[in-house]
Amino acid sequence: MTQLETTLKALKSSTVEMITMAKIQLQKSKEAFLNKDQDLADEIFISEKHLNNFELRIDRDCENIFALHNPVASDLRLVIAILKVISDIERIGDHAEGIASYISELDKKFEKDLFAKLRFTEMYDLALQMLEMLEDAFDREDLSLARKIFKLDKSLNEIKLAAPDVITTYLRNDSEATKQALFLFSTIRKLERVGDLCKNISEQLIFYVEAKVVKHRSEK
Amino acid sequence: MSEKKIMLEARNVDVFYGEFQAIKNIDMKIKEKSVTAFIGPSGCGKSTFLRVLNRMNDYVEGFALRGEIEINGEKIYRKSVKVEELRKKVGMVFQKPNPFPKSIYENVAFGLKIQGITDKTFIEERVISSLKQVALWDEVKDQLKKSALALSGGQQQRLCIARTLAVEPSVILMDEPTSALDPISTSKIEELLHELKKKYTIVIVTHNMQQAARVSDDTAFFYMGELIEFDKTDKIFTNPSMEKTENYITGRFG
Repeated sequence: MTQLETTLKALKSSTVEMITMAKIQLQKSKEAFLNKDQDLADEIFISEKHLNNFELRIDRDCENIFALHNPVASDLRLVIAILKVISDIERIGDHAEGIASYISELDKKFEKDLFAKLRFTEMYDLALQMLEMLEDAFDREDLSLARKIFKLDKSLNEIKLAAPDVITTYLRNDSEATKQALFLFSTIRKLERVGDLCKNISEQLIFYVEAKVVKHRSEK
Repeated sequence: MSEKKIMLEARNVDVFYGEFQAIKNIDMKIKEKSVTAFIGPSGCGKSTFLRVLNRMNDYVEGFALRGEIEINGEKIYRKSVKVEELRKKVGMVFQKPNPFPKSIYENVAFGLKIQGITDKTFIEERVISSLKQVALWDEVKDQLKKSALALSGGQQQRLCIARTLAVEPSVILMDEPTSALDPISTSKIEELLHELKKKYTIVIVTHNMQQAARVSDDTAFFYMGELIEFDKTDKIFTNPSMEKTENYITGRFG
C-alpha cells in the first residue's frame, strides 16, 4: 500500500467516525428531547465541541493531502468528497445541538396524541437510520445503500410537509400547547434538514465512487 | 468553438527493434496548436513513439516500422520524404540541454545557416524573434556573442527551444525537457509551452505527471508498447476510463 493509500484509508475511517459521532449526538438529542433530560442536553453541548474540532482536523488532513500528495482521479474525488461531507456532518451536529437547546425551554411533557399525529418519533428514527446507513455506505463504498438514503429523505420531507396542518388542527382544540407545538415544528424542520444533509453526503459518495455528479438531478 | 485540425496522425503503427516489439498497433490523432503529453512507466514506448514522429530511430539497429504516420497530411515514412526536410517541420528538444559550443547567436542562427540562408538581416530578425518567444531575449540581448555553454541549465534549454523555433517548425517534440532543470527553470519552460502552443503543435514526453496535468491539453498513457488511453488531460486526471491508467496515475501500478 502506498503512503497516499494509507493516508486516504485513515481519512475515510475518520470520516466514518465523524458520522458515528453525529449519529450519537442526534440519538442523544432524541432521548433528551423526549425525556426533557437537561443532563443529556449538556452532554450534547460538550460533544458538539469535539465534533467541531474533528471537522477541523479532517479539514487540515485534506489540505495536507492536496499539498503533499497531489491526488488525482479517484484519490482526488475522495478528498474533495470528504471535504464537503465533513461540513455536512458538522451541520448535523449543529442541528442536534439546536434541538438540545430547546430542552431548557420545555415546560411540560408533550401530548402523546400530537406526537403520534406528527409522526415525530418515526421521523427521528428515520433520520437516525439514514445516518446508520451512511456509516455502512461510506465504510463499504456501498452505493445501493447510499441510494436508499434518497428514498428515506423523501419520507422525511413528507412528514415535515404534513406537520403544519397537523399542528394547526391540534391547536384549534388546545391553544395552550402553542409553545410546545413551535418547538416540535422547529425540531421537525431540523430533522428534515438532517435528511437533506444525509442526502448530500450520499451524493458525494456517489461522486467519489462513480465520478458522477448527481446533485440537483431527479435521476440519481 | 470549431474543432482543431489534425496535425499529426498515426495509423496502426508497430515499431520493432529486431525481435522486440516496442510499439503495438497505435492509432492516434494529435490536434494542431495543442500540447499533447505522453506518460507511462519507463520502457512503455512513449519515447520510442515520440522519436518515430521525426524519424529519429531510422538508424537504430533492427528498427522497423509498420503502419503510417502523417504530419500535416504528409506520410513521413515515404521514401520520397527527405529526413532533413522533415526535421525542419518537426523540431526536437531533448532531456539535457545540448547547445553547440558556439555563441548564443550562432546557436539560434545555426539551423538557418545550414539551410543555406545567408541574408544577415533575415537571420538576425529570426534570432531575435526566437529568443523573444522563449523569453530569453531580455536575459541575453547584451551578450549574444558569449558562449552558450556559459548560460545556466534553464537558459540553455530555452536556447535549445529557440534554436528549434528559428527554422519555424509546425511540430515541436520534447523528450523530458525539464527533467534536468530546477523548479524555477521548469516553471519557465512550462509557462513557455502555454505561449508556444498558440503557434505550434507540441508533443511532450514527461515522467512528471503533475507536469503533464499542468501543461497539456491531451494526454496519452502508454503501457508495454500499447496506447492504453488517450483523452483530454482533465478527463485522464480526474476520471480516466481505463483501470490501468487510474492505477498508474494514482501510483498503484504493479
